[in-house]
Order: sequence, then structure tokens, then C-alpha cells
Amino acid sequence: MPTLNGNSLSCEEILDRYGPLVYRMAIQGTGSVADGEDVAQEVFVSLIQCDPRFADETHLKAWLIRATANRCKSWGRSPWHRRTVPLEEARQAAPPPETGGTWEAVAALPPKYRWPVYLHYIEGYTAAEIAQLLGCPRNTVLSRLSRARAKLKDALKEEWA
Amino acid sequence: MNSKDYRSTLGGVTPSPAWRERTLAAMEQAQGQKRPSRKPLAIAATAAVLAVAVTGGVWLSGRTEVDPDGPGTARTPEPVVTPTPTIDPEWIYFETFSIVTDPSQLMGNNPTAGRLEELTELPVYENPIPTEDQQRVLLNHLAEELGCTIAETDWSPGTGEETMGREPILEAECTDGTQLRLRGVYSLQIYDSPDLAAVTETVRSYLIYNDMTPEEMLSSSNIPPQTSQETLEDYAYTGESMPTQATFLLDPDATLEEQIYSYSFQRMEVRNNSLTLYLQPGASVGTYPLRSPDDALDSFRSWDYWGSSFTYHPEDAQIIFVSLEYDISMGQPYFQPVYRILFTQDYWDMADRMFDGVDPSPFMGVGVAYVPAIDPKYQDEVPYRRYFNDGLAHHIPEELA
Repeated sequence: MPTLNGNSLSCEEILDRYGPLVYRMAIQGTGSVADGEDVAQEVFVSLIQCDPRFADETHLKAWLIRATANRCKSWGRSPWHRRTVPLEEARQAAPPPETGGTWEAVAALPPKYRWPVYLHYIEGYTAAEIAQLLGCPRNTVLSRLSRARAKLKDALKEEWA
Repeated sequence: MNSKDYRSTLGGVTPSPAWRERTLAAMEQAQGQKRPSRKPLAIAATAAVLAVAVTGGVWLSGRTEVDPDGPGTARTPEPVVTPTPTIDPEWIYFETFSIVTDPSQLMGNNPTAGRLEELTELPVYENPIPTEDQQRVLLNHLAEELGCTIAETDWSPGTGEETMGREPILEAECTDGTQLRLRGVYSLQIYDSPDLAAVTETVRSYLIYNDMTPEEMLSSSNIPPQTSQETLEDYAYTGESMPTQATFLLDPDATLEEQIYSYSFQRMEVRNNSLTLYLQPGASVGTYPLRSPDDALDSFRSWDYWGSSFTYHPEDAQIIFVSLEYDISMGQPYFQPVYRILFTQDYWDMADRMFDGVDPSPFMGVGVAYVPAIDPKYQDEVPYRRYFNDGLAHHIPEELA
């Protein structure tokens, strides 16, 4: 089982503590609740199989965030997924949260912009924390947030504020 | 307004009980099933971009053949035989490195290239924490030398020995809009100058003539010091080049120890319309024995290295180039020699890093790891620091504990 600070984590603990984060992120990343649920489940199964040891909570969250982002990326280009689960159908079956178009606009951003926006606005991380989570310089996060806001402004025809 | 909508709706989404139940069952079923090994992600892609050989201390790439007698010659590393590592793709994205089109772009013109074995000991210098008054005297002197008239200043105290803000900062705005930032008493940054080219020439003159008396400058028997240059170049995710052009004093007849001193402390750098002049350090606190380059490489490979570059698999890294310099980054308790190790990993995939619309094929990742060169027995006496993203950038096994 994965360990945090040397202490083994149970499956229940993992889901209670980190389920909402991964679940929301997967829905944001795949564009649908149905796909997001599948991705989120894969991430937690992968966590159990990898059996990693984490020095602290940031380390663990960083792993989950990176794993979710990677799986969302590969999910979209999976031949099986493209053949069997058309995105629109999945959306109709389980619609995403109603946010007046903002959720869709964020979902449409390229991943490098989408995840800083998601982590900042939904999970409340600072640019420095996002830098740590995504393993890039803080200035890169800031420039991506800035560019993302400009793209969202264009998409939504109003200031992203 | 829309960010509030976004936050209040998606932020309130929680997993359904049915999903939790299914996921819990899948996790419990997965217990004991070890993830299968996976080959590095991008070996084939990287191989297409690079034809890499580390042979006899010379880095060869598909584009540039480095002159074996030129500055690109490194110490002789062991031929690299890299076993196929087991790489967890989730970790790879946390690895950080510089983006280049050829590794030689980060080699520079370091005088120790190919001569590392000549060095057995080097002095360590103080990095004193000045008072506000000491900084004001120094900044006034430097502004006068540069022909700047200070209009207003702002002083910030240091934030403590253990932080990257160890030393105080004195900033000044000049009447022509030029901004000056004096960090401790070891570096002066000059930016927003209306004529950077003119300032660069002035600073270059200061670098050359600062140590000469007026009599020496007028004497025909005194030859001004020579300078040398190096360009270090990396790229942004946009593919935009970000060169650093450095000028430093170089006396070809001086000892290697003197050449390293000048390379590190009698130096100016221009990057992104900003110029940094490095000032000479405080008194020497002693001369310390050096660890060997091989010992430094062992330290890197066994997870004891510093820097903004980071890899989870230093043991598998391909070593490109090793040089030695004094670390002049911020927050140093002492200015001391460090080995600078350039390395790469064959699984780094540029397609994952570059922005949309940027062709990743010309680019590759090169990491820069720093290992203190002072014999580890003495490192408690002269502790080493290096910072990144507001924190200590020390990579040790405890990161994986």
C-alpha cells in the first residue's frame, strides 16, 4: 500500500482524502462525468499498483495531479475510447456541471493552460504551489495563467475575473 | 464573475457513492498487483532527434561536433552504458531541465574544461551581510562609475541566514529611468536602461579597469586585462531563444585557480534586457581540499545534488559535461567551488513540454546539477546553498522516503 510519512494508507483513507480532488480534476480533464469517473478510478488503481512512498502530502497530491492529467491526456487519444465512447454522447448521458459555459471554456483549453486554471481557481493553489505540483518554474505558471485568462476572455466574450 | 461561477459549481462536485463503491472495490482488487515495468517513453523519439555519443570526454551530437581541443572538451567521463530503467510515467513530468537545441549551448567557455584533474584545493570566500549604510556607499560609488544619477532608493533587509533572501537589497531608480538593484555586496543588476548597449560598454570598462590605479592605466607598460566571452542559451516553451551573454576577465598566463576566480567574480552577464555585474567577494576564509570529479559524479548519481534541474533517475543519466566554478547564485553563506554537471535522460519527451504549435523536434532537455566541490569532510564549516522557487533546491534520497 502507498505510504505517507512512513504510515500505510488504506484504500478508504485515500478515497476520503483525495477522492474529490481527483474526481473533479478528471471530469474537468475529460469533458464528461462518465469519462471522468473512469479516469479517476484508473488513477486510484494505479496508485495502489505503483505502491509509492510519499515524504509528505504535497508529494502525494503532486503524484495524483500528474497522474490524473496524464490519464486525461491519453484518454482523449485512446483509439478504444474514440471508437466506443463519443464525447457528446457521454456528455448527454451525464452532463457536466452547469457553469454558464465557463466549465466548457476551461475544458477546451490546452492542458498546459487548463491545469493551472483548474488548480488555482478550483483547488485554490497559489502559483508557487502549482509550480511545485507541476514541476515547473513559478514564472511559467504565472505566464500560463495569464495566457489562459486571455484565451478565456476571448472564448467567453467577457473578462475572466 | 465567471471564475466565481466556475468555482462554486465545479468546486462543489463530489464523487457519487456508487463511484466510490466501485473504485474502492477496484483498488482492493489491485492490491498486490505490482505495476508492470515500462520502458522509457521517448527513447525512439529522442534517438531520432539526437545521435548522442559520450566518447573520450567529447560530446557529439548530430548537429555539432565539438573541437576536442576547444572549450567544449570535458573531463573524461566513463562511457555510459545505460540499462533500461523502469520509469513510472507519473514521475517523469516532475523532472525539470533546460531546453536547448544542442548541449553545447550550456557548456559555455569555462577555463576548467578538460583541466579538472589539475585542481586539488581552492579558496572559499566570505559573502558578508552588509549594513544599509555600507550598501548605500557601494551603490553610490557604482552609480557614479556608470554615470547614473540616483533619484530615489528603496532598501529591504535580508530575510535570514537560511533563506534565499539572506542578504539585504538596495534598489535605486535613476533619473533616466535606469533601475539598479544591489544584492548584498556581490551583484548589481541594471535594467530598464534607455540605452543598454551604452551601459554594457560602460560596465565592461569598469570590469577591465576597476582594479587598475590611474597611474597603471596611463602607463604604457601596463596592459589592461583581457576578456573572454561565453553565451549560454536555452529556450522557452514557446521555442523562443533566451541567451545569456557573459563577459569575464581571462589572463591566459594566470593559474587555473586565478582563471576560475575571474570567470566567476570578474564577470558580467546580459540576459533579457538586464545586465548583472558580479562584484568580487569578501576575504578568503581558507583554502579547502576538493573532492574529485568522479566523487562529485558519484554524489549526483546517488541522489545528493542541487539545482533547479531535477531527475528521479540520476543513476541512469547520461553525463554530457562537467566543469567547476564558484557558485554566485543568491543566498550563499560562502562563495565556494561547485561542480556543474550537464546531463540528459533519453526518456525526456519535448512533445510533452513545448507549447501548442511549436515543433518539438529541434529541442532536447539538458539538466544542470550542482555538487559542492569542497571535500565533504569540510562542508559543515562552509555550508552550501542553492535555491529554486523560493525553496532549497537540494535533491536527496529523503525526497523519496
